[in-house]
Amino acid sequence: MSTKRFVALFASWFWLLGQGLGAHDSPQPSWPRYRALDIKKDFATDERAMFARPVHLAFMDGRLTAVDAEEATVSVFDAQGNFIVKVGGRGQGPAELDFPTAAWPGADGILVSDGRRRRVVRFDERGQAREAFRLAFAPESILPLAGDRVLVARNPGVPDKTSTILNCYDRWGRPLWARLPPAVSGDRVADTMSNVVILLGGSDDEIFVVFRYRAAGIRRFAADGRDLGEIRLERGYPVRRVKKTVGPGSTFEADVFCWHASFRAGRFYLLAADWTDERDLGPGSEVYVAGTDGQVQGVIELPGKMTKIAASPDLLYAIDTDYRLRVLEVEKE
Amino acid sequence: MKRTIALLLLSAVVVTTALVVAADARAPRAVGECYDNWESCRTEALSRDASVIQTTLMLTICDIALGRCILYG
Repeated sequence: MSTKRFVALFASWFWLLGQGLGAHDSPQPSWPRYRALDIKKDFATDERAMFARPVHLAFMDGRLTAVDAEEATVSVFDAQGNFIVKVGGRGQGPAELDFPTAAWPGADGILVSDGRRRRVVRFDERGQAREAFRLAFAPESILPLAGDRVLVARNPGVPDKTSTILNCYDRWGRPLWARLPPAVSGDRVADTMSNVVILLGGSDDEIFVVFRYRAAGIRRFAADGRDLGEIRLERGYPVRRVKKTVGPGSTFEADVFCWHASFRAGRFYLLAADWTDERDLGPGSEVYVAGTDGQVQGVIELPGKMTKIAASPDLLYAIDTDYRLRVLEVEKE
Repeated sequence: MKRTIALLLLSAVVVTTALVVAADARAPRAVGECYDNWESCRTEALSRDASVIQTTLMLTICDIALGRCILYG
Protein backbone atom coordinates (compact mmCIF):
# COMPACT_ATOMS: atom_id res chain seq x y z
CA MET A 1 0.00 0.00 0.00
CA SER A 2 1.40 3.39 -1.01
CA THR A 3 1.82 6.14 1.56
CA LYS A 4 -0.81 8.29 -0.21
CA ARG A 5 -3.40 5.50 -0.13
CA PHE A 6 -2.60 4.75 3.50
CA VAL A 7 -3.07 8.42 4.47
CA ALA A 8 -6.35 8.58 2.50
CA LEU A 9 -7.62 5.40 4.18
CA PHE A 10 -6.57 6.65 7.59
CA ALA A 11 -8.27 10.04 7.02
CA SER A 12 -11.48 8.45 5.74
CA TRP A 13 -11.58 6.13 8.74
CA PHE A 14 -11.34 9.14 11.06
CA TRP A 15 -14.00 10.94 9.02
CA LEU A 16 -16.34 7.97 9.33
CA LEU A 17 -15.68 7.80 13.06
CA GLY A 18 -16.52 11.50 13.33
CA GLN A 19 -19.75 10.97 11.41
CA GLY A 20 -20.69 8.16 13.72
CA LEU A 21 -20.02 10.20 16.82
CA GLY A 22 -21.96 13.14 15.49
CA ALA A 23 -24.94 11.10 14.38
CA HIS A 24 -28.18 12.48 15.71
CA ASP A 25 -29.77 9.20 16.70
CA SER A 26 -26.74 8.02 18.63
CA PRO A 27 -27.14 5.30 21.28
CA GLN A 28 -28.79 6.58 24.41
CA PRO A 29 -27.41 6.33 27.92
CA SER A 30 -29.54 4.27 30.29
CA TRP A 31 -31.77 7.10 31.42
CA PRO A 32 -34.58 6.17 33.85
CA ARG A 33 -37.76 5.35 32.00
CA TYR A 34 -41.27 6.23 33.10
CA ARG A 35 -44.69 5.42 31.76
CA ALA A 36 -47.60 7.84 31.43
CA LEU A 37 -51.12 6.48 31.89
CA ASP A 38 -54.51 8.03 31.19
CA ILE A 39 -56.35 9.07 34.32
CA LYS A 40 -59.35 10.70 32.71
CA LYS A 41 -61.17 8.00 30.77
CA ASP A 42 -64.34 10.06 30.16
CA PHE A 43 -62.39 12.26 27.73
CA ALA A 44 -62.74 9.51 25.14
CA THR A 45 -66.34 10.62 24.54
CA ASP A 46 -66.30 14.20 25.79
CA GLU A 47 -66.59 16.59 22.85
CA ARG A 48 -65.21 19.44 24.93
CA ALA A 49 -61.89 17.60 24.99
CA MET A 50 -61.79 17.21 21.19
CA PHE A 51 -60.38 19.77 18.79
CA ALA A 52 -60.44 20.42 15.06
CA ARG A 53 -56.93 21.85 14.80
CA PRO A 54 -55.08 22.18 18.10
CA VAL A 55 -52.12 24.52 17.78
CA HIS A 56 -51.10 25.22 21.37
CA LEU A 57 -51.41 23.65 24.82
CA ALA A 58 -50.18 25.37 27.98
CA PHE A 59 -50.41 25.02 31.74
CA MET A 60 -49.98 27.88 34.20
CA ASP A 61 -51.43 28.93 37.58
CA GLY A 62 -53.54 25.79 37.93
CA ARG A 63 -55.22 26.15 34.54
CA LEU A 64 -54.75 24.45 31.18
CA THR A 65 -55.52 26.11 27.85
CA ALA A 66 -55.93 24.40 24.48
CA VAL A 67 -56.08 26.52 21.34
CA ASP A 68 -58.16 25.38 18.37
CA ALA A 69 -57.23 27.41 15.27
CA GLU A 70 -60.00 25.89 13.14
CA GLU A 71 -62.78 26.81 15.55
CA ALA A 72 -60.93 29.98 16.62
CA THR A 73 -61.49 29.12 20.28
CA VAL A 74 -59.49 28.61 23.46
CA SER A 75 -60.74 25.94 25.88
CA VAL A 76 -59.84 26.28 29.55
CA PHE A 77 -59.57 23.31 31.94
CA ASP A 78 -58.60 22.99 35.58
CA ALA A 79 -55.53 21.04 36.73
CA GLN A 80 -57.50 17.76 36.84
CA GLY A 81 -58.70 18.28 33.29
CA ASN A 82 -62.24 19.42 34.15
CA PHE A 83 -63.67 21.76 31.53
CA ILE A 84 -64.20 25.34 32.72
CA VAL A 85 -64.95 27.61 29.77
CA LYS A 86 -64.40 28.13 26.06
CA VAL A 87 -63.53 31.66 24.86
CA GLY A 88 -63.39 33.23 21.41
CA GLY A 89 -65.15 31.92 18.34
CA ARG A 90 -64.54 33.08 14.77
CA GLY A 91 -65.43 36.67 14.03
CA GLN A 92 -64.24 40.24 14.05
CA GLY A 93 -65.83 41.31 17.33
CA PRO A 94 -63.77 42.32 20.38
CA ALA A 95 -64.25 38.93 22.08
CA GLU A 96 -63.88 36.96 18.85
CA LEU A 97 -60.81 35.52 17.19
CA ASP A 98 -59.85 34.77 13.60
CA PHE A 99 -56.85 32.47 13.85
CA PRO A 100 -55.54 32.03 17.40
CA THR A 101 -51.96 30.79 17.52
CA ALA A 102 -51.24 30.51 21.26
CA ALA A 103 -52.83 31.09 24.67
CA TRP A 104 -51.72 31.11 28.30
CA PRO A 105 -53.93 30.99 31.37
CA GLY A 106 -53.03 33.15 34.32
CA ALA A 107 -54.32 34.82 37.44
CA ASP A 108 -55.05 37.89 35.36
CA GLY A 109 -57.10 36.13 32.66
CA ILE A 110 -56.33 34.25 29.47
CA LEU A 111 -53.81 35.77 27.11
CA VAL A 112 -54.35 34.89 23.44
CA SER A 113 -52.45 35.76 20.25
CA ASP A 114 -54.56 36.08 17.11
CA GLY A 115 -52.46 35.50 13.98
CA ARG A 116 -54.80 36.84 11.31
CA ARG A 117 -56.07 39.82 13.25
CA ARG A 118 -52.51 40.61 14.35
CA ARG A 119 -53.39 41.29 17.95
CA VAL A 120 -53.01 40.08 21.51
CA VAL A 121 -56.21 39.80 23.57
CA ARG A 122 -56.72 39.23 27.28
CA PHE A 123 -59.96 37.45 28.16
CA ASP A 124 -61.49 37.12 31.61
CA GLU A 125 -62.71 33.71 32.77
CA ARG A 126 -66.25 34.45 31.54
CA GLY A 127 -64.98 34.84 27.99
CA GLN A 128 -65.16 38.63 27.84
CA ALA A 129 -62.29 40.44 26.14
CA ARG A 130 -60.86 42.78 28.74
CA GLU A 131 -58.11 44.41 26.73
CA ALA A 132 -56.22 44.01 23.49
CA PHE A 133 -53.43 45.56 21.50
CA ARG A 134 -52.55 45.41 17.86
CA LEU A 135 -49.27 44.33 16.28
CA ALA A 136 -47.58 45.17 12.99
CA PHE A 137 -47.09 41.46 12.27
CA ALA A 138 -48.86 38.13 12.70
CA PRO A 139 -47.93 36.76 16.12
CA GLU A 140 -46.72 33.16 16.01
CA SER A 141 -46.74 32.65 19.75
CA ILE A 142 -46.86 34.51 23.05
CA LEU A 143 -45.66 34.19 26.62
CA PRO A 144 -46.88 36.23 29.58
CA LEU A 145 -44.07 37.71 31.67
CA ALA A 146 -44.07 39.23 35.14
CA GLY A 147 -45.20 42.82 35.44
CA ASP A 148 -47.99 42.36 32.86
CA ARG A 149 -45.49 42.22 30.04
CA VAL A 150 -46.10 40.06 27.01
CA LEU A 151 -43.49 38.37 24.87
CA VAL A 152 -44.59 37.89 21.27
CA ALA A 153 -42.77 35.63 18.82
CA ARG A 154 -42.64 36.55 15.17
CA ASN A 155 -41.64 34.39 12.26
CA PRO A 156 -40.61 37.11 9.82
CA GLY A 157 -41.51 36.34 6.25
CA VAL A 158 -39.08 38.72 4.64
CA PRO A 159 -36.51 39.54 7.30
CA ASP A 160 -34.99 42.99 7.26
CA LYS A 161 -32.46 44.63 9.54
CA THR A 162 -35.10 45.42 12.15
CA SER A 163 -37.07 42.16 12.32
CA THR A 164 -36.62 40.07 15.44
CA ILE A 165 -38.15 36.81 16.64
CA LEU A 166 -38.66 38.02 20.23
CA ASN A 167 -40.67 41.18 20.81
CA CYS A 168 -41.62 42.29 24.32
CA TYR A 169 -44.50 44.69 25.06
CA ASP A 170 -46.15 46.15 28.11
CA ARG A 171 -49.83 45.38 28.71
CA TRP A 172 -50.91 48.29 26.50
CA GLY A 173 -48.82 47.11 23.57
CA ARG A 174 -45.96 49.57 23.93
CA PRO A 175 -42.71 47.96 22.76
CA LEU A 176 -40.14 47.34 25.50
CA TRP A 177 -37.40 45.36 23.81
CA ALA A 178 -36.74 43.22 20.76
CA ARG A 179 -34.14 40.47 20.41
CA LEU A 180 -33.02 37.48 18.39
CA PRO A 181 -32.54 38.12 14.70
CA PRO A 182 -34.10 35.43 12.52
CA ALA A 183 -32.21 32.97 10.35
CA VAL A 184 -31.73 34.45 6.88
CA SER A 185 -30.41 32.23 4.12
CA GLY A 186 -32.36 33.45 1.12
CA ASP A 187 -34.39 30.24 1.05
CA ARG A 188 -37.74 31.41 2.39
CA VAL A 189 -39.03 27.90 3.12
CA ALA A 190 -35.91 26.87 5.05
CA ASP A 191 -35.90 30.18 6.90
CA THR A 192 -39.55 29.85 7.86
CA MET A 193 -38.85 26.40 9.31
CA SER A 194 -35.68 27.56 11.11
CA ASN A 195 -37.53 30.41 12.77
CA VAL A 196 -40.39 28.35 14.24
CA VAL A 197 -40.19 28.67 18.02
CA ILE A 198 -41.96 27.51 21.15
CA LEU A 199 -41.86 30.06 23.97
CA LEU A 200 -41.52 28.72 27.49
CA GLY A 201 -41.33 30.62 30.73
CA GLY A 202 -38.99 29.51 33.41
CA SER A 203 -38.58 30.30 37.06
CA ASP A 204 -37.10 33.70 37.99
CA ASP A 205 -38.83 35.05 34.91
CA GLU A 206 -36.34 33.48 32.54
CA ILE A 207 -37.41 32.91 28.97
CA PHE A 208 -36.61 29.77 27.00
CA VAL A 209 -36.89 29.80 23.24
CA VAL A 210 -37.13 26.33 21.75
CA PHE A 211 -36.40 26.11 18.03
CA ARG A 212 -38.33 23.16 16.64
CA TYR A 213 -36.22 22.79 13.51
CA ARG A 214 -32.70 23.58 14.67
CA ALA A 215 -30.23 21.06 16.06
CA ALA A 216 -29.17 23.36 18.88
CA GLY A 217 -32.71 23.84 20.04
CA ILE A 218 -32.85 25.97 23.20
CA ARG A 219 -31.82 29.58 23.80
CA ARG A 220 -32.15 31.25 27.16
CA PHE A 221 -32.97 34.91 27.79
CA ALA A 222 -33.41 37.06 30.88
CA ALA A 223 -36.71 38.86 31.40
CA ASP A 224 -35.09 42.11 30.25
CA GLY A 225 -34.02 40.51 26.99
CA ARG A 226 -30.40 39.71 27.80
CA ASP A 227 -29.18 36.70 25.86
CA LEU A 228 -28.01 34.09 28.40
CA GLY A 229 -26.75 31.66 25.80
CA GLU A 230 -27.61 28.28 24.46
CA ILE A 231 -28.63 25.14 26.33
CA ARG A 232 -27.03 22.06 24.82
CA LEU A 233 -28.79 18.79 25.44
CA GLU A 234 -26.79 15.82 26.64
CA ARG A 235 -25.52 13.45 23.93
CA GLY A 236 -28.07 10.82 23.15
CA TYR A 237 -31.02 13.20 23.06
CA PRO A 238 -32.64 12.40 19.72
CA VAL A 239 -32.37 15.41 17.43
CA ARG A 240 -33.57 13.72 14.27
CA ARG A 241 -32.70 14.65 10.73
CA VAL A 242 -35.08 14.16 7.85
CA LYS A 243 -33.65 14.01 4.35
CA LYS A 244 -35.54 13.87 1.09
CA THR A 245 -34.62 14.17 -2.57
CA VAL A 246 -36.82 16.94 -3.91
CA GLY A 247 -35.52 17.16 -7.45
CA PRO A 248 -32.63 16.21 -9.68
CA GLY A 249 -29.54 16.71 -7.56
CA SER A 250 -31.50 18.57 -4.91
CA THR A 251 -31.97 17.29 -1.38
CA PHE A 252 -34.00 18.79 1.43
CA GLU A 253 -32.65 18.31 4.96
CA ALA A 254 -34.04 19.45 8.28
CA ASP A 255 -33.07 18.83 11.88
CA VAL A 256 -36.02 18.36 14.18
CA PHE A 257 -35.18 19.22 17.76
CA CYS A 258 -38.60 18.37 19.15
CA TRP A 259 -42.22 18.19 18.10
CA HIS A 260 -43.47 20.18 21.06
CA ALA A 261 -42.20 21.21 24.50
CA SER A 262 -43.19 22.35 27.95
CA PHE A 263 -41.32 23.67 31.00
CA ARG A 264 -42.23 23.09 34.63
CA ALA A 265 -40.30 23.42 37.92
CA GLY A 266 -36.88 23.77 36.34
CA ARG A 267 -37.36 20.93 33.85
CA PHE A 268 -37.92 20.82 30.13
CA TYR A 269 -40.40 18.28 28.79
CA LEU A 270 -39.39 17.68 25.19
CA LEU A 271 -41.68 15.64 22.97
CA ALA A 272 -39.28 14.01 20.51
CA ALA A 273 -40.35 13.75 16.87
CA ASP A 274 -40.93 10.22 15.67
CA TRP A 275 -40.55 8.56 12.27
CA THR A 276 -43.62 8.10 10.12
CA ASP A 277 -44.18 5.19 7.72
CA GLU A 278 -42.96 7.43 4.87
CA ARG A 279 -39.59 8.08 6.57
CA ASP A 280 -40.77 11.54 7.46
CA LEU A 281 -40.87 13.01 10.96
CA GLY A 282 -44.06 13.71 12.89
CA PRO A 283 -45.68 13.51 16.33
CA GLY A 284 -43.87 11.41 18.91
CA SER A 285 -44.56 9.12 21.84
CA GLU A 286 -41.55 9.85 24.08
CA VAL A 287 -41.00 12.85 26.31
CA TYR A 288 -37.42 13.60 27.38
CA VAL A 289 -37.17 15.37 30.72
CA ALA A 290 -34.08 17.58 30.97
CA GLY A 291 -32.76 20.16 33.40
CA THR A 292 -31.66 23.64 32.46
CA ASP A 293 -28.09 22.28 32.45
CA GLY A 294 -29.04 20.12 29.48
CA GLN A 295 -28.75 16.85 31.39
CA VAL A 296 -31.49 14.35 30.56
CA GLN A 297 -33.14 13.09 33.76
CA GLY A 298 -35.50 10.54 32.29
CA VAL A 299 -37.74 9.47 29.45
CA ILE A 300 -41.53 9.25 29.67
CA GLU A 301 -43.30 6.81 27.37
CA LEU A 302 -46.69 8.12 26.33
CA PRO A 303 -49.68 5.91 25.51
CA GLY A 304 -49.46 6.74 21.79
CA LYS A 305 -48.23 9.49 19.52
CA MET A 306 -48.97 13.01 20.68
CA THR A 307 -48.83 16.38 18.92
CA LYS A 308 -48.78 18.76 21.90
CA ILE A 309 -47.80 18.46 25.56
CA ALA A 310 -47.97 20.55 28.73
CA ALA A 311 -46.67 19.69 32.18
CA SER A 312 -48.11 20.62 35.57
CA PRO A 313 -46.46 19.86 38.94
CA ASP A 314 -48.36 16.56 39.17
CA LEU A 315 -49.62 15.62 35.73
CA LEU A 316 -48.81 15.64 32.07
CA TYR A 317 -51.35 16.79 29.48
CA ALA A 318 -51.19 15.88 25.82
CA ILE A 319 -53.20 16.12 22.62
CA ASP A 320 -53.06 12.93 20.62
CA THR A 321 -53.07 12.50 16.84
CA ASP A 322 -56.89 12.22 16.89
CA TYR A 323 -56.80 15.70 18.42
CA ARG A 324 -58.19 14.56 21.75
CA LEU A 325 -56.97 15.93 25.08
CA ARG A 326 -55.39 13.36 27.39
CA VAL A 327 -54.62 13.76 31.09
CA LEU A 328 -51.71 11.54 32.08
CA GLU A 329 -50.10 10.44 35.29
CA VAL A 330 -46.46 9.45 35.21
CA GLU A 331 -45.24 6.33 36.98
CA LYS A 332 -41.82 4.72 37.03
CA GLU A 333 -41.54 1.50 35.12
CA MET B 1 -42.19 69.61 -38.39
CA LYS B 2 -39.97 70.41 -35.42
CA ARG B 3 -43.01 71.47 -33.43
CA THR B 4 -44.83 68.22 -34.24
CA ILE B 5 -41.84 66.09 -33.17
CA ALA B 6 -41.45 68.09 -29.95
CA LEU B 7 -45.16 67.67 -29.22
CA LEU B 8 -44.97 63.95 -29.90
CA LEU B 9 -41.92 63.57 -27.64
CA LEU B 10 -43.59 65.57 -24.89
CA SER B 11 -46.75 63.44 -25.17
CA ALA B 12 -44.66 60.30 -24.99
CA VAL B 13 -42.89 61.56 -21.87
CA VAL B 14 -46.18 62.53 -20.21
CA VAL B 15 -47.89 59.22 -21.04
CA THR B 16 -44.85 57.23 -19.86
CA THR B 17 -44.64 59.23 -16.62
CA ALA B 18 -48.37 58.77 -15.99
CA LEU B 19 -48.14 55.05 -16.57
CA VAL B 20 -45.09 54.66 -14.33
CA VAL B 21 -46.66 56.74 -11.54
CA ALA B 22 -49.93 54.79 -11.80
CA ALA B 23 -48.06 51.49 -11.75
CA ASP B 24 -46.00 52.64 -8.77
CA ALA B 25 -49.11 53.70 -6.92
CA ARG B 26 -50.69 50.29 -7.49
CA ALA B 27 -47.59 48.17 -6.92
CA PRO B 28 -46.98 48.62 -3.18
CA ARG B 29 -50.60 47.79 -2.34
CA ALA B 30 -50.67 44.75 -4.62
CA VAL B 31 -47.32 43.43 -3.40
CA GLY B 32 -48.34 44.13 0.19
CA GLU B 33 -51.46 42.04 -0.35
CA CYS B 34 -49.33 39.28 -1.85
CA TYR B 35 -47.17 39.21 1.29
CA ASP B 36 -50.24 39.32 3.55
CA ASN B 37 -51.67 36.31 1.74
CA TRP B 38 -48.31 34.58 1.95
CA GLU B 39 -48.18 35.22 5.70
CA SER B 40 -51.66 33.66 6.09
CA CYS B 41 -50.60 30.74 3.91
CA ARG B 42 -47.51 30.13 6.07
CA THR B 43 -49.51 30.35 9.30
CA GLU B 44 -51.99 27.88 7.84
CA ALA B 45 -49.20 25.49 6.77
CA LEU B 46 -47.41 25.61 10.12
CA SER B 47 -50.62 25.15 12.12
CA ARG B 48 -51.53 21.90 10.37
CA ASP B 49 -49.13 19.85 12.46
CA ALA B 50 -48.25 17.87 9.36
CA SER B 51 -45.02 15.92 9.10
CA VAL B 52 -41.85 17.84 8.26
CA ILE B 53 -41.71 17.07 4.53
CA GLN B 54 -45.44 17.76 4.12
CA THR B 55 -45.05 21.09 5.93
CA THR B 56 -42.12 21.95 3.68
CA LEU B 57 -44.18 21.14 0.61
CA MET B 58 -47.03 23.35 1.85
CA LEU B 59 -44.58 26.18 2.51
CA THR B 60 -43.13 25.72 -0.98
CA ILE B 61 -46.63 26.06 -2.44
CA CYS B 62 -47.09 29.27 -0.42
CA ASP B 63 -43.79 30.49 -1.88
CA ILE B 64 -44.80 29.67 -5.45
CA ALA B 65 -48.14 31.43 -4.91
CA LEU B 66 -46.26 34.48 -3.60
CA GLY B 67 -44.06 34.55 -6.72
CA ARG B 68 -47.08 34.27 -9.02
CA CYS B 69 -48.92 36.95 -7.09
CA ILE B 70 -46.01 39.41 -7.35
CA LEU B 71 -45.44 38.69 -11.03
CA TYR B 72 -49.00 38.49 -12.30
CA GLY B 73 -51.05 40.17 -9.57
